[in-house]
Amino acid sequence: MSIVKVRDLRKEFGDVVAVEGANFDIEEGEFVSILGPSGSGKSTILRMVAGFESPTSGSIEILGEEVVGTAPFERDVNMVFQDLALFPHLDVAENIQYGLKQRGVNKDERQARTEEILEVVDLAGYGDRGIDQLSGGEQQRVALARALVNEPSVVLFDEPLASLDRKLRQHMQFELQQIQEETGITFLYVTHDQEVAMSVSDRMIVLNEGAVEQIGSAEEIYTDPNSAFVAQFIGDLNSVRSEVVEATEESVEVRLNGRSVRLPAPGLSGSTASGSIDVGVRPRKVRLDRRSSNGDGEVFEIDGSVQNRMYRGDNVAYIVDTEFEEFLVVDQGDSEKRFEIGDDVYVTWRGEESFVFTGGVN
Amino acid sequence: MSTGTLGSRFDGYSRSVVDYLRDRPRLRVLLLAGPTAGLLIAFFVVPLFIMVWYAFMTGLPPADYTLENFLRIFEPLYLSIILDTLLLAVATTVLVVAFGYLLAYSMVRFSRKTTLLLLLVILPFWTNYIVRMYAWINILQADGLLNWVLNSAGVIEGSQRFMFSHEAVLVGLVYVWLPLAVLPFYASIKTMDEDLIEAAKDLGAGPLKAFFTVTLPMTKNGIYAGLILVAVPAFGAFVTPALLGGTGSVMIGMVIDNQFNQAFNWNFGAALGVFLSLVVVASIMVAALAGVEEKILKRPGGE
Repeated sequence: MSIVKVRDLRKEFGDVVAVEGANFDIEEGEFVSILGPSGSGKSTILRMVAGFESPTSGSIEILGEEVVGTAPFERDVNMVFQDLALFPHLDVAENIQYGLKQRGVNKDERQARTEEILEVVDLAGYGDRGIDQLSGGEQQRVALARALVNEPSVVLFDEPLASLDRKLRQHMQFELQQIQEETGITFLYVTHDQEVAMSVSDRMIVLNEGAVEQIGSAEEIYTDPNSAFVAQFIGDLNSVRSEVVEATEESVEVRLNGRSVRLPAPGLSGSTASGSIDVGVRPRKVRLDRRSSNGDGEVFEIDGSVQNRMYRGDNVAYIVDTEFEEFLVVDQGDSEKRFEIGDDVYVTWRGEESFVFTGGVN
Repeated sequence: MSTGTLGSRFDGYSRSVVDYLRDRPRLRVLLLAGPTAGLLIAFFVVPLFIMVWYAFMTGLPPADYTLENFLRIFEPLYLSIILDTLLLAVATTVLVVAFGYLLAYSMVRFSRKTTLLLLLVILPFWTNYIVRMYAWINILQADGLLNWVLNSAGVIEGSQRFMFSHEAVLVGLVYVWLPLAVLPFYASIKTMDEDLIEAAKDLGAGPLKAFFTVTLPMTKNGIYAGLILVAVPAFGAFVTPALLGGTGSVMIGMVIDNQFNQAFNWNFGAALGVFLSLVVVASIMVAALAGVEEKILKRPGGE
């Protein structure tokens, strides 16, 4: 049975539609991220699940029971807040026990469970510390423990790692994943950081302007984005407007820079039988060459010049200026070819490694 | 032309003054803090010492030294007035804290026109204290507004005496000190992180539980500030009880005022003043120490 079931969820703030018809299910023991840029409605969805906002319409079921209309304290969910919202007037153990106390758990069991959960979050012996005596990472763990100790059906996260520095954030991500596997509690994690979402979650829900764009595993979404927005938001994307020559059920033939290339594009025909579409390609799939290659109908090629070269440790990134768009090219360093700023180059990529989008890219 | 040279000469002087001061940190501190310290010494410390000095004398100096003035405080008459004053001050404080907190809380949480409401709360301060007291006399007196309203509503028959009672004084004191307490309450509630309340509710606390376990302890510093701001002046009040209480409700502030202005017994007045100051300072210190101790004792053991 689904732990959380969201149907046609809609939220309006005055004239602004924050969430527009969201539908998704979360299964038991899953780690699901809601990913989207700021203002995409992801926090609003989370707050509706928690009970801090009531939806304009639609339903939210937790463990098969409709929760719309019930108060936050009546719901079997716990939240890790963006700024953690730890109680500064209580010590670590009192913070963690707060929820158990409200549920009338007796003192001995409270203490036993607190010690247990402190062990899980690697803070054994920290019970009597004050909140302001803890580092940022330790506070994160207390906030997590305070939610986990109640063993809710689902723990909600409102970007709690956003304030940490990169190194600590990566460490905490890893720990979060470990703890989730260890406890088996369902996590619903909201973030705008695609790196966090991709590395921790089983599935991602990508939001744009209040609407769900795509749901799937990180790999599915990265390799098969179903809109230009998703492709750009999850990873980098180069995209060029191209002229449609012919579209069939299975593929589309486009012309770019004088070359015709046939791309696999199931289900595209009809809507864009003529006109132009966007062809997108990941920076890693693009190659740079000094000489022009022969086309044979499978490879795109555009000539340009290197505008910038960025050494990034693991790889080298080039920005190539062409008459169409600027291209970002990531070179894995395996090639002995090295380009300098101002070099004339040919940007090439294979048609089968491209995405086609009709919606346009912004 | 000449102003130019004057200006540059002035620049030169000020530069040399700055240079002179740069190497003399003590002189700098003296110049910065001196005027304030001087003012405090002249208008607070010196008068205080004069008062303490007078309290130990039989008359205006030159006179003999005595403890008589302090012993007289413990006569039943004065003790009962001090007790009455204490009760009135406590009642005032309790009422002001209760109403003031309620007012500040609803201003922050339930209202959009917070600034306007805050202005309305402070507005009475712009009117003279005495004028506001006479307004209350108008309301409370025999043919006053309150009598008229209650008669019209049929709650009472005929003219009722509200003035010159403990209750009248209490109303006046609460009215006067309420705005003063609302400000620190407002500040502490306003600056409290509202996420904490959401966190409490998320963890299963109902609204009342969340208020008592989170909001109240988080705003206790504001409550203490408001409490002291009200309790201390209420304890020393003399205009309000004089106007609204008269002989029906004598507070110790009135007695002191009488000693100086009518009985011309400055020594006894001074002794009363010193004694009351000590009582106030001592109770604040006891409260503060109790609070600190609670913190120290609470930390290691948890709960």
